[in-house]
Amino acid sequence: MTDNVQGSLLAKFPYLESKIKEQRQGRIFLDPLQKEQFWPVFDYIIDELGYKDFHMLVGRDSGETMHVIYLLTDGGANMLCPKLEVEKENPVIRSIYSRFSNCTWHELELVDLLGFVVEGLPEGLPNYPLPDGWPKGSHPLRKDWKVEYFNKETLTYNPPSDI
Amino acid sequence: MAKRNIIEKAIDWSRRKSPWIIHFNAGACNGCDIEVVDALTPRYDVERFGMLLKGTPRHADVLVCTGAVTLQTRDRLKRIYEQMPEPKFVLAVGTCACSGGIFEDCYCVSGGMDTVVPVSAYIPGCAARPEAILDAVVKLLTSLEKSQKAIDN
Repeated sequence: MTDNVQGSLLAKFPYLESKIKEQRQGRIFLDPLQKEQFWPVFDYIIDELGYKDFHMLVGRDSGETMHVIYLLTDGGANMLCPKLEVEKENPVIRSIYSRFSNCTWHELELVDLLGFVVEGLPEGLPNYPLPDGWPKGSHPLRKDWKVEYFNKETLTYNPPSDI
Repeated sequence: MAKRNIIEKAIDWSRRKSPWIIHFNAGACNGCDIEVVDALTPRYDVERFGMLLKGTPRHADVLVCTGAVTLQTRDRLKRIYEQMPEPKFVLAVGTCACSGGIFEDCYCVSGGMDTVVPVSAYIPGCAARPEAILDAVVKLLTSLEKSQKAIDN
């Protein structure tokens, strides 16, 4: 079945050539895609290929760019993981709330821990999962964030100015 | 220290014979909490010593606390400790509560229980066994009895 999935993806989106990897039976990963290429693939995977279950999403700081990995399953044992790539200076992504309303706390994690800007989340959601009073603009899962510069008593982040 | 009258002695005796506890999870993985529940329920049955789990810190003598203290629970733990009537005791259950454990240097963790409140007894173990929790309670009560006798004599 997964051969059909790879075949239909390649037939529909020729730019996915050499970007599809099947790590093992039923675990298909796509290489990171820019948003213009990503969202048509994402919609196609869900609507046409039947990967209708949103399992989770993972944020990643790769050093130069930021990635969001969406883990979608077909309700069985097969998983397909498209990856979205955004610039580190301007990490703005679109929320998938209109499709999967259970995405909120995953996306709030992206906002707090990695500093993504998620457009389309409902208003009035709390900060999650960092504690109250956490300094604004300080994202602990970024590669350039160091715990040595964080003061746990005053909740302030003071990196040395020469960095 | 002044000698105690009979009423004070009776209060201390009853406290020793029925210490009421409040259980608080400051950021544990629930492993130690399960063991606390195991110590309370019929298998180990700590209630036969008069220990009773209470729902409010205002009724409790002993704060049984599990988990490394996260920054979010730090103020809440302080508030619960301050609400308990004197004299009060704190049991740190599990390695995380004793020292912070593997989470010690994590960005969102304050450290062990003793970074926030004074601790009476440390119960190491991941998770702490119910026998160890019982042992700590008995040792706490024994030391309490000793100090009370030292005042009287």
